[in-house]
Amino acid sequence: MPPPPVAWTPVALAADLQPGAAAGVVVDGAEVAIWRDTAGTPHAWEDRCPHRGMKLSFGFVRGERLACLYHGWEYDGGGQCRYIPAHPDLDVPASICVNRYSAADAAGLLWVASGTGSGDLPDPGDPLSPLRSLFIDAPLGEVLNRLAADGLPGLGPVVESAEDGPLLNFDQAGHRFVVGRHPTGPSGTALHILLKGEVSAEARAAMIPATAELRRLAEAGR
Amino acid sequence: MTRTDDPVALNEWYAVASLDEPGAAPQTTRLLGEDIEIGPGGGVRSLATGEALRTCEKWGLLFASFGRPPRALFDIAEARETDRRFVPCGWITLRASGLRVVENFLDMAHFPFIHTGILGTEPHTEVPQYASEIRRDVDEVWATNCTFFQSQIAATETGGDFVHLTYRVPAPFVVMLYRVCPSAPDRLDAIALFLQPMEETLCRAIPLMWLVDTSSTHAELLRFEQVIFMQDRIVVENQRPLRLPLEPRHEIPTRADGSSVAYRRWLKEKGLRFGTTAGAEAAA
Repeated sequence: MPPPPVAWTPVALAADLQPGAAAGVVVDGAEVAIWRDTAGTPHAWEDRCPHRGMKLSFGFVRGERLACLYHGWEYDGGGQCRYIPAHPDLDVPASICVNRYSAADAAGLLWVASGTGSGDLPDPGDPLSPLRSLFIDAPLGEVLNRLAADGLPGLGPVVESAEDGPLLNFDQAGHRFVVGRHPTGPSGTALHILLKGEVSAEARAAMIPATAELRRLAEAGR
Repeated sequence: MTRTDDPVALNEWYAVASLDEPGAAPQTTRLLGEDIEIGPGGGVRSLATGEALRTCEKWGLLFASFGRPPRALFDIAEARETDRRFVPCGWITLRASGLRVVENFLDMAHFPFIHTGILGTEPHTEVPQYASEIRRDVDEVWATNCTFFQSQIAATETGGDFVHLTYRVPAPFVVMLYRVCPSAPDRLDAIALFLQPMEETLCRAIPLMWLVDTSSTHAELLRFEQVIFMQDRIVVENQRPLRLPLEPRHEIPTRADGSSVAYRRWLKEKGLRFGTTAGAEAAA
């Protein structure tokens, strides 16, 4: 399976992956398991247990380790297998480890990269309020062009838009939107949308229909 | 979809239908990548070429082959014991390689994690040493002396105990389990799982059981099988790659995987490609 890009890619809203949780994401065609240990540290691994290929994103976090759903093999934060339940007394060979990628929290987003990651992670300074992640069956370029020109449908004109590396910023309806761009594959896009500053839950909830409309229009190609 | 060109796969027998299914109209299904039609009289023909497939009937199932199977279907001695209960279960479709399904059936180490509280429970996770071998005289894979702590071995049992199991792979897409019957310790329940490989990563499975157990109702037995299968589905549909790798270094086994290692070696010796990662390379 191909690894994710070397450049940092935002793969989720940081708040959507709680400590002790695991999830699967697709980054440019690469299947990646993301998880947080109980201390909150993020990890990104190849989504495949080296034992029998089970997707590790189906696994469960036990303290500082991720356990595979299939046979309960436990991997520490370094990706090293530490415990094989079928052989409780076995000293697990060092050769049993998962392929690891880099994971980091920045700007309210969870980021993934192959190796140590190229480029800097954004540092917006101000607090950000998460709006939602949006998964769209359309190529990233098309979705971004639409978003930069028109913002979210029905919220009025876009005052200004600018690309900031892997983020797209634009001002609309009195808010500054910060959008993490995440290609899932050649024809699939995920957007992780945040708002600058403290925005109330009510104000955020009121924007959800506009995000659904964006997806509908993008998938219809209109 | 087109028929595989894998001669090993083409020359095997495959269960493609239950004979007790109402057969007034022809049924369409798929085998090794090609659509086939099963006529009301039990004849099977390719919908791509119109040619008739070789067929035979056994254990209430209709078997078909595109090629010339070098031998007749294997024997299940327990199926000839007339005092047993014959329990055919229903067909289950899985988005998985049939070979991954066979291997999962051979696997005991997943019982406490996938069939929690039914076939196993933590902390009883250890897989005691067992023996696995390729039996050259019959060309089958066997795993013997298998034991595992199960909390509920069969539909009749409520307490937990070590169960004694024997596994048999009589053909690449068939796997069997023999277990000491709790109510008649000198006899073995026999369970066979027949896979119909439809595509490289799509299959249908039908379990048949020949049981000594007479106390469970048919509905209870079916429900038990159904729960187990729905749990296994989560695994076999989410393994990567979906196809079974036969190269020894592609995945890392431990001692508990002795039967899986023997099965993969046996398939590799046969040169089977369909449903394996070698099949994917050939198709690319």
